[in-house]
Amino acid sequence: MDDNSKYKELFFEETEEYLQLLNDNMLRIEQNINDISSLEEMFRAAHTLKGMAATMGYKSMTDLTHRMESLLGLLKSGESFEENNIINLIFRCLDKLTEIVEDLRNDKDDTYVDDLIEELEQIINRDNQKKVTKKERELEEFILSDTDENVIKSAYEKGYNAFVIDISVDDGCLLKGPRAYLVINNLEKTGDVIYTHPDAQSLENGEYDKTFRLILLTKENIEEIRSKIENISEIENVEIVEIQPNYSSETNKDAKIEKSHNKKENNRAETKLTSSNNLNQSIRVDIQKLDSFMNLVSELVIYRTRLEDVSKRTDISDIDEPLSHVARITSELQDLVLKIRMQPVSVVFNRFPRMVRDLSKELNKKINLVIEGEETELDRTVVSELSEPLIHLIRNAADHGIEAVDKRKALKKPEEGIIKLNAYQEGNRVIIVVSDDGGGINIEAIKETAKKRGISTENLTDEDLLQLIFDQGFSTAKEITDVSGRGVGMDVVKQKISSLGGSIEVISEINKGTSFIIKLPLTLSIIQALLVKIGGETFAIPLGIIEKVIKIEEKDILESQLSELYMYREKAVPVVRVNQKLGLNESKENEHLILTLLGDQYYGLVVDELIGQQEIVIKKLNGILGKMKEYLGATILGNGEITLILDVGSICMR
Amino acid sequence: MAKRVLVVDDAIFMRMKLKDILEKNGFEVVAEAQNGVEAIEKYKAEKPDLVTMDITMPEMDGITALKEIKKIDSNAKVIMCSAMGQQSMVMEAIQSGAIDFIVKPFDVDRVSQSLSKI
Repeated sequence: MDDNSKYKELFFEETEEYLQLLNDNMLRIEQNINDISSLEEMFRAAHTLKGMAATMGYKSMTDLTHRMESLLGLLKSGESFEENNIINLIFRCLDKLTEIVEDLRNDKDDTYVDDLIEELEQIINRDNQKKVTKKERELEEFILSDTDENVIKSAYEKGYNAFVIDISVDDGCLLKGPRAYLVINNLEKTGDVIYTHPDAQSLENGEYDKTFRLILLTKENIEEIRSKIENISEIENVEIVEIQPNYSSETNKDAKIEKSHNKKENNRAETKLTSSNNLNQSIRVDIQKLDSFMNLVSELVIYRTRLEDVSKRTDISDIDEPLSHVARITSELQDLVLKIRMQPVSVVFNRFPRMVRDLSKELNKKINLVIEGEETELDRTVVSELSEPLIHLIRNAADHGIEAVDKRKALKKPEEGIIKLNAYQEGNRVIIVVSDDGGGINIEAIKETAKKRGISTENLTDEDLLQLIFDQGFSTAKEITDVSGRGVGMDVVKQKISSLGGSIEVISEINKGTSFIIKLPLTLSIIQALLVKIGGETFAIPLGIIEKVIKIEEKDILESQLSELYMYREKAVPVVRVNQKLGLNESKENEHLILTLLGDQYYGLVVDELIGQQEIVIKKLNGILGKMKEYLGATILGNGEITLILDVGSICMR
Repeated sequence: MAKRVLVVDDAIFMRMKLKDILEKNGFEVVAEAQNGVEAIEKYKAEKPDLVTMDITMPEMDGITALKEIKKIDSNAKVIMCSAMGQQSMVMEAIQSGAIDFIVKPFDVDRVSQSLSKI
């Protein structure tokens, strides 16, 4: 056996893409059974998978995909079936394939597929039987036209040689039909094949044991013919005997075959037009290489800013020009590496239609999944970590959120529940909202559970109470179903989101529905920031969330009873004194107001001095510092100074 | 001199595998293409001594690509890569001038043997 292990990763990666493709197309076909282009695509994908699996030597996967391909081929050719059965069967096959792939990853190639294969075979064979009878009739017709010695005689008189050739193919020859056809085709270039045994049709179908016989009329000699045949692969043995005229002919047969082939050609031309699918032209890169590329670029940025700093301080004008080029190139490099790392969230979202379909069948509810903004891009690491929490939220929405059909009817809601998945970019964050129009979260149930767990709920608002669902082991589900409610819950979701540098909130209204709002950083490493001085210290504020910077004076800030306000475009904007929030000195000199938009609410941050705009590399804070919510992280400036990056969101909200 | 080969297949996996076999047999893979359209472009650019051509591919299938390549260069040597169950297509390819075909799953010995005859 040759070693395939080095292809394994590639194999799995590509297999997953094809499985996704199959799933997507199957969902389309479920909507419209006549969607031929989707069928074509599935057929191709199944075919490719089969080839890949066989090459890797994965038996169960090869067997299963082979049958699937046959079935899809039948569907494609317009055979009619009981739709629902077939669709469910194919879906089950896809699930099985996923399972097989999972097993294979763990080096197990013994996934049980016999039951599925049997089911598939039953359907495929039912149809094949029909075809065979048709073929037999054709064979009979051919046998009728036989023997014509005169052809050989007259050819012989014209100087042709007549050879009887017995050709044996290799034992392991896989496509015997085409192999024989290739032989005959090559021989016909040298003369006429006037007889074959078995007949040409059977040869093409590979209906011969190992050896077939033919008679060739040619002007070439035995050795020339022998080498022509032996140059074809998978030929084990050739025996050639020269004969005197005494035999038979069937030349018109070949003409017939040719005709039928031309017909096929036309068909192909038509299908080709319908199946134009843009495969992206791309290469694959190991993510670790990308990571280290990213790291190197970040380091480069740090030293660039340091160089800029040095050049400013020492005033060497010669260095300015090359430095500005370096600056431009590093920022282009940075943009590039960030873009390379970006992936659309559709990578994760794609699997949800299938999941929701299965959930709705399982739970016997009508659920429509609406996906918006799937083209929104996020850093690859964020995207790949997203699927687990999102699956959890969607399962919850389907299981606990959306009510059973009867209940929805009673509440005068549409029978079909909606789960909406929406992604969009906001500043340097990406927001993902998972919402449903189901029953909402029962605040009373939360209160009860809280009491049981010894949490005082007296002074908590409803909103505060809702956030309790993110606490460990806080499941209010009365009945534990297969789908969700097994105790591991929202706390895991929250943990995951936080570890990605994001946050999650919940909004819920009884009988109206629940929304989970996930906010994620666009990228984890390099951002544009505004450097400011507050109370004598330097801080960085991510540029992405800044709407506007306004020079203000103390008298511009209005005081209301509870808070300070600033009038911006005739709207009152709450003023946040950052120095107070961070416990720093007040300066009240040279004040600027930084307007930021968080959600749909403006906030004005009071800072002292503006230093300038700069690219900074976010380094995460560890340990105790990492728990301080006011800061996103820290960065090293050009002069080597360490500066904290403000988390404007959490500063304004508290 | 090593024969220069263009490998055409829509699956990267298959291309890698085939490339490996080819290189072990002393061929030089000069280009790869993932569909028929690319195959034609690369054929024009590289003028390889040999092409291995998958049949089922998006954009343009291998048989159409074979025909187009034959139009450009009637002496082009194209080996089809097919899977079980594609008899009729293989035959069509032979008719259109493919010099041989190999069957997936690729068996190293078998492929080497076909290659040795070219």
